[in-house]
Amino acid sequence: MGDILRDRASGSSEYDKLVLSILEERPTGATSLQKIGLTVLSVLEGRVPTSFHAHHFGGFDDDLAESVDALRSEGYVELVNGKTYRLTPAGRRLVEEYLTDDESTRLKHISGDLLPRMRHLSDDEIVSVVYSLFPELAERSLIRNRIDTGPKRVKNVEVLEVPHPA
Amino acid sequence: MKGRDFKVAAGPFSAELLQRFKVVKPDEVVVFDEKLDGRPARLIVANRRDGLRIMVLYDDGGVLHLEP
Repeated sequence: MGDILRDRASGSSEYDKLVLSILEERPTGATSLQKIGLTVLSVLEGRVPTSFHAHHFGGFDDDLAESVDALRSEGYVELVNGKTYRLTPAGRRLVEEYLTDDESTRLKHISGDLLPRMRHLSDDEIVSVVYSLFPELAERSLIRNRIDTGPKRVKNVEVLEVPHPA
Repeated sequence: MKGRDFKVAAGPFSAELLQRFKVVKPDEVVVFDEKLDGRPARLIVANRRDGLRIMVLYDDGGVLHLEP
């Protein structure tokens, strides 16, 4: 089993590592996984990744979705109650013991730093605050008329807008 | 009146902290580790065309504001 996990870790893409680092912190629905992924990658890269486009529910990355599907088909991620992704025991072992390269370490650090501070938020609430942080991603969403992209406060998380400092 | 307007425009951020946000260039996203009114928080600052969007993630485990 160790060799399999070691090989899988060495062959993991940035998106595989991203998905695994997020799910290590919390089980997550498909839409909120996309939004958390967008946030974590933005922090990693220091800018909004161009791979995330406004599509269907806004802020969607095809590669991230494909990673989730692949990890699920390989038994590292499972779908619970038809709507929430979480790590399987093999997935947890993969991320905790074998994903130790620099990129994985940085992704795990960012996820571990930010996600516990979102632990009181439901999946829908996470989606809502990320739309407020990156409002342009809601512009072409199918549900744009129902999305509030303005500043808001949800539990212990606030999104504010201030003018550029003079 | 002037002070109140500034408070609304600047949110919970001090003038000093707002000046530090200047390091965030257009289209960049930067995380700050700060205290706002004595409460530790992570600030994700995104420099957008029409202003700064800032997500404040307070550290305290308690739920500070329960929406109805």
